[in-house]
Order: sequence, then structure tokens, then C-alpha cells
Amino acid sequence: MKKIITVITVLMLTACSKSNLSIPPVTIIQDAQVFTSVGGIQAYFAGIYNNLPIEDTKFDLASEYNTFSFIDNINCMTGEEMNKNETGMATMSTSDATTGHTNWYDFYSVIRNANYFIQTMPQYASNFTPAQANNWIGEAYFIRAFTYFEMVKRYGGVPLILTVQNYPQVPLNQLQVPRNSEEEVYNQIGADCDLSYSLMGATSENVGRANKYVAAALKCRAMLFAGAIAKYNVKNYADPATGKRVEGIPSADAVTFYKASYNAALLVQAGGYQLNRATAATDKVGNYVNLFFDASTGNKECIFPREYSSGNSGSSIDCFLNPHQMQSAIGYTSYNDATEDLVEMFDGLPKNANGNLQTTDANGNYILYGTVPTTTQTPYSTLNTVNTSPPQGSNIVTNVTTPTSNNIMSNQYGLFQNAEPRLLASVIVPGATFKGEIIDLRRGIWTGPVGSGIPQFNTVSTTPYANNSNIVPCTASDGTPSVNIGNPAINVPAGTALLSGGQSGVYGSRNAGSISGFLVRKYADQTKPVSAVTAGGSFQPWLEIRYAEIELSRAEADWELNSLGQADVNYLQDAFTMINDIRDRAGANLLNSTADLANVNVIRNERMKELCFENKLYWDLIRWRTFDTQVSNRVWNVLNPIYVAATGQYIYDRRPYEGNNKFTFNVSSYYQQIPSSELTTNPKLIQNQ
Amino acid sequence: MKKTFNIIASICLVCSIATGCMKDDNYAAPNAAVNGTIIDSVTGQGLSSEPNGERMYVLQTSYTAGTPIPFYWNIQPSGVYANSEVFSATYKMYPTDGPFVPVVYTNTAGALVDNGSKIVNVAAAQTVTTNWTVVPFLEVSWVGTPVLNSNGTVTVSCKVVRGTTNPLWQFALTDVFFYISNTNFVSNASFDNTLSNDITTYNGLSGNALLGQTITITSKVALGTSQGYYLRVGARTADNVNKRYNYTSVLLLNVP
Repeated sequence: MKKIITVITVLMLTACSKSNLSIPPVTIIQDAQVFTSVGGIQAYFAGIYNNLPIEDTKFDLASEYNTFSFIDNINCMTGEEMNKNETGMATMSTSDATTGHTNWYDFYSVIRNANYFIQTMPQYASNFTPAQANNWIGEAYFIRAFTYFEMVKRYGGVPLILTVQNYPQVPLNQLQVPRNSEEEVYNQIGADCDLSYSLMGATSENVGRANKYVAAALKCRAMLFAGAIAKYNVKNYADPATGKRVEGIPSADAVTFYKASYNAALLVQAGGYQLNRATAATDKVGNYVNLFFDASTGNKECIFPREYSSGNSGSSIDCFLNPHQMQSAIGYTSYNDATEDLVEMFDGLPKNANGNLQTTDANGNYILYGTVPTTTQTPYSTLNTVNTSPPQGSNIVTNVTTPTSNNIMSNQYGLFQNAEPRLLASVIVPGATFKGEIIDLRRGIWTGPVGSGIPQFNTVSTTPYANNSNIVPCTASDGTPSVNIGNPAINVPAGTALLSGGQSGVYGSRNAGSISGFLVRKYADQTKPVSAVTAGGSFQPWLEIRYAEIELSRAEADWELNSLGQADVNYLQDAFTMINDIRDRAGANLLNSTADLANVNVIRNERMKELCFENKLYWDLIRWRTFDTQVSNRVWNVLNPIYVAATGQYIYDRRPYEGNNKFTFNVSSYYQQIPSSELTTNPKLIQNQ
Repeated sequence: MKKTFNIIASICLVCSIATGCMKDDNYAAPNAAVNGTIIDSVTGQGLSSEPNGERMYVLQTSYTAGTPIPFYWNIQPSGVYANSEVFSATYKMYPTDGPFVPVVYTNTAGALVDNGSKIVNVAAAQTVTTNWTVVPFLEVSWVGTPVLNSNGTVTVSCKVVRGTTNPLWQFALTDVFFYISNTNFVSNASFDNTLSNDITTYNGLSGNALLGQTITITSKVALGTSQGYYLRVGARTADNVNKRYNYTSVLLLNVP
């Protein structure tokens, strides 16, 4: 014991003494070990790419990057998706739950690693061919540009740190740097992309890494963003200490930025990228579905993918998107449901004069959709629990039996029979087939008469089906007082029992099924058996940049340049070509002439349809500065399919979500607040106004 | 004995490690107070707003240990603000983010314009009252009294005029919103959207034609019976501050 005390005492006494140990520590990997072999460089980049702030299916509003959750994703704020968890506009977190740091800290960590590589690589370049060394340095510039873009789109101007900062060699007050102007940051991103483009080769060293065309694609994206800020932003806020405009870009510079975006798009096109039409000639839906699952160089649409693998890194997207009838063992189904507002933007649907889905006739009665009444199937999946208890309540008809099998009555598509292929590839509509199974989805069953027409339900009420003896709705949460009806099965004249909500519809206190009448299909892996769906078990790639985005960005830059009086190129004609290329692949209606492009919303809406659920529109609405007007006290619309027992057809009730969650985007959110801990760390930073 | 010694030694060791870096925070608690009202220049009353509708910018300019970071106090919907736990110091203050011509802002040339921030000296245990008079973007007032229609809906009339004569701050009128709520916080932050009616969302300048006119709005559907509803009309412009609403006063309507 005495010995131990002695040892402790000696240790304590010597703990802070300095010894002159001149040998390099063997537990820390030295530059000479990393920068002298291809394997070392690969390992260095693996670390950087792993932390590259890509908003993929592991990006979440509450916990930022690389999280298990995709539940509270940013698409739920724009009206692309609805989510039973989201009851109003959520503010994006500024701290990363995975790393425990602020995202600001994490961004600068990546930037530091890129800067370190840019500074150090030239000393070791003799170990490699000049092409190799240049390619890697270019890659580091790309990574720096990518990360600065993630910052500037959130915060406006941020401090540009372009060399490695060393502490304590340099005193703290010199390392504390004030914010650069928003324009300076965009210019730096543009310059880094240019340098990256000139230094890098035409092909990526591995899938998921950059090449010169990826750098050009990033430039196209970032410069379009800068152009939009210059044109549409009205906020003007300068750092009083430096006079630098940290919010906003002079409107006079819009043309320069839009032109830079346009020119970068030309470079990407020159790289041989094009829209994926592998099976478009025979199967436009399948072609569109599959393009998101191919990150190989054979997919010429895929510019910058991120790959996942078992034991390495996976997302949970299949869990969250699954229809309830295919619920996995860990639960979580239909968390992200497409809104009716998004669906009705697509072509091939019956619409009224207002452009809304046509659900009622001239007399205000519902139109009965579908002609083929019945399809019966035994469920493919077995893990889900279907509520088969006898229904109770005053509005349940008496001829009830507990179903022995789970029957499905589907008029496949009905209202959607001529829908645009891109819609059917992006969204699971009621009655669609997914994983070989009809998705059984309803809001209720109309058991009343149809002879003189079914009048429209109250479109304002949040309890439209309560106390209506002609309909058996599928959930008690619609406000029906003290009636526990869950998801009752009732006999319909076709001779079988039918679940009023179907197996994937709204029921069970809105906790399981779709709340909008739709589900999300894009990125959902239909080849994955239900038994393999689990948390972190989805390994489909994420296409962070694909060529469709480049074409849409180019069309937008075209339109804006034309509107700003630029005529060095026939910009409107170019936009026309781009949009029609997108529409042709999508199977949508083509534009007739450039006259159809009179309004910029034609191009913006095309972008919303093409890039929905891809974590992009949130930022588009921000850069267009239309977020606060488009999303102001907004309740997203749903489409409730209701089975008509007498005829075996469907009526569709289009209405604001019964949960009545209102979304409002505040003008002050166009620039996010800088994390307060960073303001304390660096007193030269000023907060956004 | 040896055991006892070891225990005592361990306790001493633990105590010395645990307390080695501790310092008592003996700085005196804040005991001063600052309060006041944001006054609407047109009515002379407190500016009618909504929860979170405006904030007070507060910068402790007397702080010398580093660059001070501004903080923000909330202002009540009635325009009153009050903070009863303030450190004795010198502060720069001004109201911000609300539906009024900004007191401090950056102009298009990038220069900071300060039209009325105040330096407030707060001595220990003292209460300082500081009011601001601001110019609202719009002035919204009731015309007549609410009418309960035979079908159960309610109709109100109001008038919207500009609060500021400076054309720089006269933006296009975009929304006139008749709010109905079960609470007296009735505003854009709290309303029943099945009853309330946003009569119009204008694009461009077309909304300006409504300025000075008597505007009549009816609730979307019939109100419930045997209960009280709070009514209010808000209007806003496409301003570049925060697009907050200016409001009428709150009326209570008891539906028999």
C-alpha cells in the first residue's frame, strides 16, 4: 500500500513536468506515413469524405448530419412531405447530435483537414506522378468549396479560413477572424471550384469521390444560389466593425453569378453527363425508379453519389418510408408521406379550373373513380398487426364479421390511371403496387346511397366524417366523440370484409399509416424484403448531385439571364431545351415553345417535381426568398380515398389535413443564427439579424 | 490503523482533487430593473403586436473584458416590456423586428443608420423606465362593431391606412387577416384557422387599392354557440423587416 501511495505521489509530482522527448510518438500517425503512399492518401480522404456535410438520408432537422433519423427531414417543411411528428415549422438545429459539436465547429474541422492537405501535399508530391498529386490537391479544394457552401447557405458571410491555423504558435486574438461578406464567400467557392476543375482528372478515383466535373457541378449549384441571393434578397446587414456585408449580395452582381452557373453547367455537359434513359423507351416509371439505385459510372446521370455498405454506414430510409402493411420488426412506418399539394403539380391527372385535383362534378358531388372493382390478395408481409376487433360506435353498420383474410379492394390508380410516370415513380399513390403488393390505403368506406350523388364533405371542418351515418371512417382521431372505431372491417356487397382504413391507411391514432393518402417511393428500395428492413440497414446510394439538377439549374440561370436583359446566348431557347429534356424523360407534357416559359414558376415547379424528397427544395425556397409567402399559416392538403361499397369504386376527398398543423416560415429564418457558443469563442463574430 | 490511515488519505486525496479548481461565484445578483413601452406614434398607445412579435435589442456597452454580445428581450403583445433582474451597467437599447419603421438598420449603401437607439445607464437597485415611439407600417382600426349573422357567421369591418409617410417604408399591402381565437392572445401566433379568414393574399401592388377603404370580412363558417370568441384584424406589407402584422385592438364577442 505504501508503495502505491509513493507511486501516486511521484506521478502527481511529475505529471506537469516537461521532458525533452525528441522522438516522434509512435501512437500518432505522422505526415510521412500518410503522404507517401496511395493507401495513406486514400485513408486521409476516407476520413474527410465521411465527414463531408452531405444532406443525405441521414440528415435530420433536429440532429443534423450522419444520424440514424430521417424522420424530421427538411422536406417536411416545404410541403413535399407530411410527417405525423411535425406539427409546425421546426428550426434547423445548429448542433450535431452525432459529433456533439456545433455544426459550425464540424464544418471548420473539414475545412481545416482540406487546408492541411493543400498545404502539405506539395512537400510529398515527388512520391507520386504530377497528375496524381494535382488530382488530390484539386479534390481538397473541392471539399473546401463544398463545405463553405453548406455554411454560406445557412449563415451568409462566414470567416474565410484558407490556411491551417496553429495554436498556440499564433496568439489567440490573431486566430479570431471576423466574418467575410457573403459575396466574398461565394467568390471563394467559385475560385476553389475553378482550381479544382483545372487540377483534377475526368474520372473519380473511387465511386463517391470528386472529379473535375463534380467540381463544375458544385460551382453550377453554388453560383445559382448566389445569383438568386443577389436578385431576390432584400436584407442588408454589414458587420459594423469591418463594413463587410454579411447578409446579402449587391443586385448588380446577379448577372455575373448566373453566368458563372450557366458556364459551369456547360462544363458538366461536356463531361458526357446526361439524363438516365436506360429503360425509358419501354418503361418510364421503372427507369426513373431505378436511376437512384445506380451509383456506378454506367449511370451517366449520377455526378456525385455517396455510397453505404453493411458494417460501414447505412441509413434507415426503408424503415421510415415503408407502408404500414410492410412494417419491419422495429416498427416505424410511413413517416414521410407525400402531400396532395405536391402530387397535384404533376401531369396526367384530372384537374379543375384552379389546377386542383378534380374530385367533384359540376353539382358538387364526388366523382366515382375506377371501373374494375376488386382485387383480393393475401398480404405479402406477416409482421404487421391488423386490428380485427369488432368495431363499435353508432355509425357502424350492423352486418359485421371479423375478416379471416385481409382483403384489399383496389381500383388500381382510378384517378391516377394516366398519371405522369415520374409521379408514379416518386410517390406511392393509393392502389399502387409496391414490392409486388397492392398498397391498401383508404380513409373509410361509404356505405350510404349513391343514386343521387355523394355530396362533398365539409371542406373546412377538421372532423368532416363525424356523425355521418353513411360513412365508416377508419380512425377515432377524427374527433368522433367517445367512439373507439380503430380500423374496423365491415362487409361490403362484394362479399368480403374490408378494413375501412386498409392496411396502410390512417388508423391507430394516426401512428401507423399514411396521413396524406400517399407514400414516398423515391429512394425506397422495392427489392428489399420486409425481413431485411431495419434501422441502419439501407445501403442504397445517395445521389447528392445528379444531372437533372444541373439541367434545371441551367434552365433557371437561362431564364434569369434573359429577364436581366442578357442576349449573348438565346437563353430562353436553351431553357426550353433543358426543361423539355427533363419532361421527356419524366413522361410529362412537353412545352410547346419558349412562350410557355413566360413565368419563372414553370421552371421552379419543374424543379420541385423533379427534385422532390431530395433535400433540395428547402434551400431553393430560401434562395428564391419565397418561403415566407408560400409557407404562411399553411396546412398541407391530403387526399382521402374512400371506398364506395355500393359500386366498388372510389371517391377522393381533397382537404386540409385533419390534424390541422399549421406551418409558417419566418422571414428572419432566411439567415440562421450562429451558435452562441461560437460567438463566445470568437468575439469578432457578429450574430445574424 | 493502517486501514484508517489509508481511508483518511484517500478522502484527503479525493477532496483535494475535487476542490482544487473550485471558485465561488460571489458576484452580486442583478438587482436593477428596466421597463417601458413601445408607443405607436399614430395612436399614442402601446404598439399592438403578437407574442414574439417584436424584441428589444440590448447591448452592454460598458462591458470591457471582451466584445459584448447583444441579447434580446421579449416585448409583450401590448407593447410593454419589463426586466426586473438587470445588472447595473450601461446598455445600448432599441426595439427591433416588429411591424414598424426600423429604429436601427443598414441602408442600401451598406451604412448603419441609427434613428433612435438609446444609451441607458442603470444604477444598482434602480428602476429605469425608457419608452420608445415607433412609426408603424400600417394602422388598422375597427369600423363599427362585429355583426353576428343569422347563419351563425360573424362579419367585421375595418380600415387599413399607412402609418408612415416615408415612401421608403411604404411597401405593398399583402394580407388582411380576420383572426378568431378562443384566447385573448388572438393574432397570427394564435388563431383558429377553421374560422379565421385571410380575405386576400395579394401579389404585386394590387393590395394597395384597399388602403383607406372600409374592408368587410366574414368568418369562414358559423361560430359555435354559447361561448366567447376574441376577434382581431391584422394587416401586413411586403416589408423587409419581418413581415409582422399590425393589429386592431382585441374584441370579445359572446355568442349566445
